[in-house]
Amino acid sequence: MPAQLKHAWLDLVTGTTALLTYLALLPFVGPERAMVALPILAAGAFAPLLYRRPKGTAAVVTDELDRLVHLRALAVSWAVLWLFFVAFCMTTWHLHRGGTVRAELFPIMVGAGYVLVTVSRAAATIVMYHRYTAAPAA
Amino acid sequence: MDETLTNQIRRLRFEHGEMTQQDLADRVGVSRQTIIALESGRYAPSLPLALRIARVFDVTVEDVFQLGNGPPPNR
Repeated sequence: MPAQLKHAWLDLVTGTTALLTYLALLPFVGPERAMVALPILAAGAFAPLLYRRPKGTAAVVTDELDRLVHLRALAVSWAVLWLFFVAFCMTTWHLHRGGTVRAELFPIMVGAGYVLVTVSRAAATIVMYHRYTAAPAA
Repeated sequence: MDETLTNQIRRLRFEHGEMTQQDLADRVGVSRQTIIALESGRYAPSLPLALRIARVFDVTVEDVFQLGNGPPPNR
């Protein structure tokens, strides 16, 4: 399995776990305190370990296909981030009586945006590797 | 104009001592997944990679890759 694909699975698992933990805590502690779930994303700090070349080998860690997948996944996550950002601002602006976006919501927006970017990039990476390397139809 | 890039990598591998995908990947400096994507026609290689593959088989690039009709591969 390519290192970048392992990285994508790590991001997908940590991002989904953080999101589910946040949603599980939300009814009990509220939206701001439920953000204690976000440090789960710190597991992503182990990603560089996945890119180590096995000792004593000349194995290829990343190549041109990996770079293409990376760029395309980044474009997908960038689109998701902007859609989320606009939807979040429009929704809070619409719901808030003053017709403004409450400043205390911004940490939630940043946290949720980071989780969305992480998960969408990971999912796009996994899907693209599957498409590129799946066995051809008989 | 519909053009698709076809290739003879699989045939050339078997004609060269049944070379495995991993062997070819190691010799041209890519991962086995990239060789799989190339053989299945889902990925069009860069020019340097196409030249390295042709060099491994001691043939011209045109002997390995051909332009044909059909939907273009992902680039």
